[in-house]
Amino acid sequence: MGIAYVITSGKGGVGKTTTTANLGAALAQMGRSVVMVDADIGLRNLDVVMGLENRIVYDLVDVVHGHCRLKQALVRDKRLDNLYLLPAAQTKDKTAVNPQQMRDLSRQLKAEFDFVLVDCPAGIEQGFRNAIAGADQAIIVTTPEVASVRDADRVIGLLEAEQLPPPQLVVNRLRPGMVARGDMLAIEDVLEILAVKLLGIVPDDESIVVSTNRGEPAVLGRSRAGEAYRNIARRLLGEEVPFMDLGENGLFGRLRRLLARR
Amino acid sequence: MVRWEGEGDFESWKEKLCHKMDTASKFFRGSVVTLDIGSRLLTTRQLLELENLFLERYGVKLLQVVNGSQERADWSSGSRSSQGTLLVKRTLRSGQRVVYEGNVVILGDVNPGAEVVAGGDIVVMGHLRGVAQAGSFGDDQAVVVAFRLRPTQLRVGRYIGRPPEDRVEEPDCPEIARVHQGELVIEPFLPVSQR
Repeated sequence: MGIAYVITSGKGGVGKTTTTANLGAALAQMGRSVVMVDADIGLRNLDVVMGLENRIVYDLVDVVHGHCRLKQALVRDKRLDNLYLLPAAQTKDKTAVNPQQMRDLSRQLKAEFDFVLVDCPAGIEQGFRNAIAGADQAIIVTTPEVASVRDADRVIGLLEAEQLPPPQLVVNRLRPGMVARGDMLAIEDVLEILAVKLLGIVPDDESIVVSTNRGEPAVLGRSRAGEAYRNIARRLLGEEVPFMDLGENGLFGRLRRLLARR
Repeated sequence: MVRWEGEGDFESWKEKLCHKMDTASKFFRGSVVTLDIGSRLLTTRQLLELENLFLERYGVKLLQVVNGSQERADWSSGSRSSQGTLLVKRTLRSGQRVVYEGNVVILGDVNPGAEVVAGGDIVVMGHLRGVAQAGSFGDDQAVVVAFRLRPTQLRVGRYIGRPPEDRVEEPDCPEIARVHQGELVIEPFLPVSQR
């Protein structure tokens, strides 16, 4: 029996889909069987980010309404054999499924896979209700911005009311230089408000834009963000992985100081 | 989450709520419910009564009672007569709201976007970063005390205040907000001996 995680944030555009895609790919690389569920019905993206758009035949709504069997709708990743995607429907909307159906779906998927990663839509309405319905645990994604942290706080409150265990936090798109100058919220500021366990810090990285557009998850290449996502995956597997040194004491900081001295 | 605004006095309001619950009692059995009672204010005894009723009659655990859609407590009606105190043993997160006719004590933080409305005083054993309204029935004598007072906005009785935009020093000590000579002031909360 696997475990179902919902990746959620409240605010849009903070990196839920990117996080889902990269954690899915990283966990699969580490030998686990993984299915990623795109719960953003009507605005599906995960298939594009994974580069699997042209392989979709059936979708989540077809499965829930019995138009096809679950296995028919699962799209196997083109790089990793044990990674699957259950795409969202693009021509329907959030009301096409209900929380009970999502709970049933999640139970079926957990019987087949080690990890079920549900990519939650932005907002706190029905799409959110559906996405969290089948989840055992939640991963909150936030950027170090006041608005994003505010929405994350709101979502954590809603998850508490749904009796999910305390969520874990991924802080995405951190820019250490800006934090050092006092122009960006530091990790400590975010944690002071949200008071949840930190699962990982992902640095702002241009390569994410490139990999997203190419449909190649960053963890499959070599990049700082990819490394950060791999670390998060290892932590999900129970490993103790120290947080990446993003500050001035990191390799880059030391190099910069070395060069500056000359 | 169950929303029940309803009308009338507590008894008839309760009866209608029961009637509503009866129609779906199977659905609710064994669940945990947050009850949104709109703009209604309940006494501690009424809260306890509801809690027992839900548990015994419907097998439902009443997690919390909130006032979701309330616009603002009525200034004119009621007074600070019921001096009960509501103890909230958790942090209030954005979008969460506690409304009570007596005093409110929060064992935790009040985050930005959260709101506490009390007929009496408010004590926050943590950071108050959201909105707090004490003396919501118009009592200018009410106070707001917090370990760290960094509110988005404060309301005491008929007065509304917000921290000055250019507040440079943020004292690292408990503070109290109260109305003094027609102005909402914030000052360090000192032990009685040092006042």
